[in-house]
Parts: sequence; structure tokens; C-alpha cells
Amino acid sequence: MERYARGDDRAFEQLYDAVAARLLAYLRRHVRDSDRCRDLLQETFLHIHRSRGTFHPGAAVMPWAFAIARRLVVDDARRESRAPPLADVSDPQWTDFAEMAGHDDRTVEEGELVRSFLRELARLPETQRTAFELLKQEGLSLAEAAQVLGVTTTAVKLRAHRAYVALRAALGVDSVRLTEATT
Amino acid sequence: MSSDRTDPLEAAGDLKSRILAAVRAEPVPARRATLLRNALLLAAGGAVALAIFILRGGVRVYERPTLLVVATSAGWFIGAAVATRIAFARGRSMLGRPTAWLVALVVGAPFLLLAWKVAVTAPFGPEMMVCWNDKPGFKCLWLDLGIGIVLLAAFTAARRRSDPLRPGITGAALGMAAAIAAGGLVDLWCPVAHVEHLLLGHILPLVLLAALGALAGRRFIRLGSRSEPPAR
Repeated sequence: MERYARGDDRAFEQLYDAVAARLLAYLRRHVRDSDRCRDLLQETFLHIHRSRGTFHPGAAVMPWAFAIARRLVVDDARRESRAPPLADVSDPQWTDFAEMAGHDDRTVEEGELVRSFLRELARLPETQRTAFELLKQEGLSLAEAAQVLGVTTTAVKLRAHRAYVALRAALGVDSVRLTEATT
Repeated sequence: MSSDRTDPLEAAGDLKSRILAAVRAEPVPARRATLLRNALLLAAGGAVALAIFILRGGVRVYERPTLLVVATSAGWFIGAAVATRIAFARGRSMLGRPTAWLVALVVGAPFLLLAWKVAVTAPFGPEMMVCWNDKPGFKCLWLDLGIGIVLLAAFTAARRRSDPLRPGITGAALGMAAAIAAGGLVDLWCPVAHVEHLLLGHILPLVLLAALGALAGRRFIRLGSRSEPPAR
């Protein structure tokens, strides 16, 4: 991003390769329509592109990119007057996703666990769910997740902990660990 | 969902090509040009603000000791520099300062500046804080708002579509920074330090410009306002 901000247009493709997969995975978890999901990825990159001139040297790209994607998801959900922006776990793409979890050495029961996990995750308050997702599923650090959400690291820790406790109460300790690893 | 049936690698390649084409179709200046543009915007805003101040009479000392004028306005200008650094400069993160900092600035600045003005003026004697019946504070209010709006417009233009998190709070903080800078000029212009006058003419504009900044932030600083749907 630093090279791109300085004016090297070719660096954008490398930037895309570095962050697109994670952003797309995030968007797919939150947007039901896969075409809309791709549109939002495009919008995210266009916003990054439009901000190239104001990119601060040394600033972290991922929290910023996730914050843009998250904002677009929320705005998109509002525009569509949809309920909380989380994909419907009965949607075919989630079924496929859960089935993927059952491949190789995983059992059908584990696939079912993933489905239950996603269902319980969808029931959490948005603030807790997002904190949990950014830390456990997107792999951001506490500081990065705090930046994305615009809150302190303590608040992120607390929200993620509450989410974990709620999921553990609903699914059991082993299930949460398993599904965290899977998703 | 028909596109899900296509080869994932092919679909990923198509998506990448589409996004790269969309980016190429919308040329955006790199950092040097953007910094220059923003510097010009801010300089123009500052010049217009100064012009308004000078046209309205510039520095007016009256019976105030020079030290008092320098001390009170220096407090406002230092406050403006700190507020601008917090609200306008984003620090090391592209997501700006923590929300708590911005809120602290918006909530705390009016109290701190009022306390500063009173605390610095009081030692110079009660005659420095008497009520001027012909100056309730409306002229200060309008001058403060006039200068502050110009500065806020410059800040907002320079930070347009940049905040994906909380544009309203960022806008309020920018409004507060603009209002404090304007307040510094008004402090050079106004000799009255009676508390009721200060509340109406010097502190109320801070609150009003922060509120206006919040509205401007939600409208102009928020990400994606006015963005077109992406081209396919």
C-alpha cells in the first residue's frame, strides 16, 4: 500500500492479492448474495484506491480494509432493510461450507456442529459477534480488532469473551474449540 | 446464485480483472498531489478566516493589558493546535484517533477553555470581568460562527469520505477544532470577560460548530456517501 500511495500503480495488484481473499471470506460470512458480495469487495477496493493519497506511511492496511468492508456491509444491510447483517445459515453456500468442514478426516457430526455453531453465532448481539469474528475467524490482533471497531482493546476483549462464554454455554467447550478451528 | 456454479478459480480471476479495471478507470492522485491539494484547501480556509477577522476589525485590545490578551488567546490557539492534531491528523492509523479521544475533546474543550479564560483573567482584577451591557455576546457569536464555518468547511473537504467508523464523532471533533481556532481570533477581538458574555459569545459557538460538524461528518466524511454502485 505504501508503494501504491507513493504513485506506483502496479502495486495495487499486489495489494489486491494480499488482502482480497481475507476480505472476500469476511464478506461471504456476512452477505447472503454472492454477486452482492463481489460488488462489496469491489467497493471496498475502490475506497482503498480513492484513499491512496491520504494513506499514512506505516499504517496497518488490514484493520482499515476490514473497517471499510464492515461499514459497507452495514450500509448495504440498512439499504436493503435487512435484519442484522449476517448470512442465513440455511443458505446453500453455508450448507456447502458446513459440508466442507465434514470432508477428509472430519465426521458428519462435526459438520453438524459447525452448522450449530454458525446458528448460535448468529444469535449473539452484533457487537459480541463481530468482536469474536474479527479475533477468532479473521485472525486480527486485539489492537487491530479494536481499530476496526473503534473501541478500546479492553472492550474488544470483553465482547469476545462474552461471545465465547455464550457459545460455550450453548455448544460446550470442545465444540467451540472445534468450530473455531474449522471456521 | 448461478455464479456459484462456475469454476471458483475462473470466478476469482474474473473478479480480480473486474476490480483492477474499475480502479484503472478511476484515476486518483497519489500522496504528494493529495497532500498539496489538502494544504491548499487548509491555507485557503485559513486565509478566508483571517480575512473575515480583519474585515471585522482585527485585534482590539481596549483596556486589556497586553499580557492578558496574549495569555488568553495563546490558550485558545494552543487548544486549537491540540484539537486539530487530535481531530484532523489521524495519527499512525488510517482509522483515526480512538473514539474516546474525540469524545473527550468535544465534551471537555468548552469547560477547559471557559475555565482557562476565567482563571487567566481573574488575577488582572474584577474590572476585567465586568458586565458590558451593550455587549451581550451576539456579535462574538456570529463572528465565531462565521470564521468557524469556513475552517470547518476546509477540514471537512480535506477529510471527505475518509471515515468508515464514526464520521459523526469525527465531524464533531473537527467542528470543535475549527471553533477553538475561531475562538482564538475572537478572543483577540473581544475585550469582554464577563461569564454570561463568555457563555453566549465564546462557548456556545463551540457547541454549535461541534453539532454542525457532526452533521457535516455524517453527510460528507462518512465512507461511501454519494458513491456510485460499482460498474460490472
